[in-house]
Amino acid sequence: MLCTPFEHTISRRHFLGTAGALAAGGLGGIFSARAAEALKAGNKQVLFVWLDGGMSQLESWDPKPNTLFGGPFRSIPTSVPGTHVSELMPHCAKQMHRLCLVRSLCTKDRDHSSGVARIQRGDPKNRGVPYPFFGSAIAYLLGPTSSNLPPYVVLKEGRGGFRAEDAGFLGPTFGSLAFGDGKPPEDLLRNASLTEAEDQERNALREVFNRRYAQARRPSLTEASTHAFDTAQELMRRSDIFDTSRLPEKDKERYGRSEIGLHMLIARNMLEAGVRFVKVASFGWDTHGDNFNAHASLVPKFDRAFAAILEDLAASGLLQRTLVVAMSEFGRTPRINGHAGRDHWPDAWSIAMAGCGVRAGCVVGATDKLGVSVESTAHDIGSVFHTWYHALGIDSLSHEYKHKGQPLPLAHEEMTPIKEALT
Amino acid sequence: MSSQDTVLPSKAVQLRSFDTACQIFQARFTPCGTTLLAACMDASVRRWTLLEPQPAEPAPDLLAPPESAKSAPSTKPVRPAKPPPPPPYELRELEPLTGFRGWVQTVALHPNKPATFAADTWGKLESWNSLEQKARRNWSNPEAHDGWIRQIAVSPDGSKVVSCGLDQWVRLWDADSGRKIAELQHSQPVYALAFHPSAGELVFSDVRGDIHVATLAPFKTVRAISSPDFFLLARMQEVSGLRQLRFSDQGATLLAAGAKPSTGGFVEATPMLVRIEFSSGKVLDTVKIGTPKDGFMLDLDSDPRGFHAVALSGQPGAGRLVFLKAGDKEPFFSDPSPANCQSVTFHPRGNLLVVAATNKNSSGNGKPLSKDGAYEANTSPLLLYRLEV
Repeated sequence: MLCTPFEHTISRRHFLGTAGALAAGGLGGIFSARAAEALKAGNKQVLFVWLDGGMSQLESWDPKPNTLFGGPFRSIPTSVPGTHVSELMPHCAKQMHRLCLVRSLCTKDRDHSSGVARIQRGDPKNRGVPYPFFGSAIAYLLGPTSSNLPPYVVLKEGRGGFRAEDAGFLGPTFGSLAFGDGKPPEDLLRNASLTEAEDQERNALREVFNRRYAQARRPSLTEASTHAFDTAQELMRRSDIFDTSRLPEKDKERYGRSEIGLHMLIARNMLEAGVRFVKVASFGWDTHGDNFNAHASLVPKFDRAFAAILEDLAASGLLQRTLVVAMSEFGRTPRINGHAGRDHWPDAWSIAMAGCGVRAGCVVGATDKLGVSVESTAHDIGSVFHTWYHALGIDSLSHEYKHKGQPLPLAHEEMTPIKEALT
Repeated sequence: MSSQDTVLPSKAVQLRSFDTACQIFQARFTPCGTTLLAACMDASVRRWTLLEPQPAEPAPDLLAPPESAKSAPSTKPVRPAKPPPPPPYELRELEPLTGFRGWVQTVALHPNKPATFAADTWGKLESWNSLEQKARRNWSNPEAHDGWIRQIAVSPDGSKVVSCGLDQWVRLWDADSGRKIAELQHSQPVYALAFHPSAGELVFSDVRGDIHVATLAPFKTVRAISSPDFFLLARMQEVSGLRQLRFSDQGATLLAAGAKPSTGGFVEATPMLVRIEFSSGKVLDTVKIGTPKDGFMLDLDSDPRGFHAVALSGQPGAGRLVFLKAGDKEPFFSDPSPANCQSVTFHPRGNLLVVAATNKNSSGNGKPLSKDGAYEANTSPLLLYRLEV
């Protein structure tokens, strides 16, 4: 049974030790259990592409061309005979043999304010505590890889930083480290005016102050900042991962000269370097107005970048041990409003998956001919979480968290994995 | 035009609202004014005959004495008969033009022949004889473009049709045969276009809001007019504000209509009309109306008396019809009652206009169902207005 770091006073430096060291035990039950899982899971990694606001399933994975709500676009055939996607996704169409589309999502939240968090936390039954985002859960369950790089990194627009709230009841140490505009958080790297020796001297002093500060406070309050600092140490050694000036022009072109293209390219580097969980967050998909011109602009950028990283992960062999997911918090209404927009639609929408444990080249579920309702078995996000855990080798039906003595299931206990999506 | 005709109307009074069964992008009266055509989201061009009220025959005066009694003196007073009210305007729907795919977003009418041109979002361009009860297809090109045809227009002499699309091509077609005459490739998706009334040139604008001038023979771009206020890069979304191009003042002035976008996603945008001196490309003035909630100038039609009727899209539930005089900064008439206006067209006689709007409550994150449990599409009511001085 897994338990939580709240019950253990641990050093983040130890936490960032190798999986082998973790497996050797000696650090309490939490690590034995997690290390066992990690070993079982192998060196699994995750690429999680978050399209914030809600990508339209009708302009992407589940087109209904030439129907009442189908919109202006055509559908195109893919590398999987009989499977079609929107014409806005010609590159992903060529990668369909690597993808698994689930077209039968039916979730509950119609609003961003609740939907964004609940979808990313797996919307379990209310136990009075906030569940971790998927990235934090994986950071906790699998820990960092042997690379010692931070286990949960987010690439996003705007400001970066450490986001503790992602971790929910797991505690702030399992939060995300966000790279704003593809750059590491400010002041994370050693200032160029400092020599390495000077820097080490400062670090030693910092640790003294940290210990003194921590003595009077709960461990969880100090762990996050220590964790961020430790993370920085490793990242300092691996700045090649995210230095965009070193990215080959050919790759930049292939991934597309867009924000999501650049972030996806850095994500590839991070996965290759061993970051356990990389989330690429793209914003601006909430197309209540001018939906079709917006998707004509946005989807091709996603398409190019997503197809390119799938191709590269497959070529390097990483796809075999990397779970890839692309999704939003919901889809968009079939009905087209007076501003040529589509509103929020959790009733029938799609996600795309690929990689380890996922059945490649398949479509799970179906919506009706107008795209209004799921006409096969409908799947809520809890089932999707179970599916992801199983794809990563984590038996989410048997294992549970233990939070302050309270057992908590990894995912919604009344739901099960989508078997058709798993190998 | 008589002196009476040059008097500007002060307002438009809504006479009737006609329900339709689909959402409409663009409505146009035929040059003779008998038929209204609409480019529709259900991959059709819908047609209606406009039935105008006829002066009614005076009703027989039942209180009047019979002829035989006229000679006899009568003591009863004779009340004058009230004429019955004239029958209201009606739109009688004709068979739609079908066979399109995706959406039909644009129609154009031949200036002196009964030909209608229409294009769909899957690349088909067609010519129809649409004035007959049973419309006939003159010609069809199912692959005029690779995908979404954004706009078409007919040359002033009626000999050519021009089309533009998401595929970045601008193509010239022979209006009678549908034969491709010439084409030019642009570097961006092309959104709007218009023929110059006399100069043998046309203009087109792209997703970035830049306007390009092209000669017809040879068919090539000769100059560009920059209009950066029509464009916004919101995160990675290219938001194009320029939606319509028109010429006025016999071609001396180019009107660029649309909006200055301020956000992506929701797409908030302030309606904007830029008047450009065509010969020099110099901006004469820029008029912004309202707030970013007022949306795009999705359509405009010009009245020879010197004003424009403009359809403002608005955020869901908003939108309005406005009249704008050339050179003025504010509309002299504004009707906020129609929701999410899509198109506006004057009747050729100039005393009527039609607005294609959107039904109320067209937006929302819920799943509204009709009484019989159906999830229904929105529709566009057609609103008939009379201009009044």
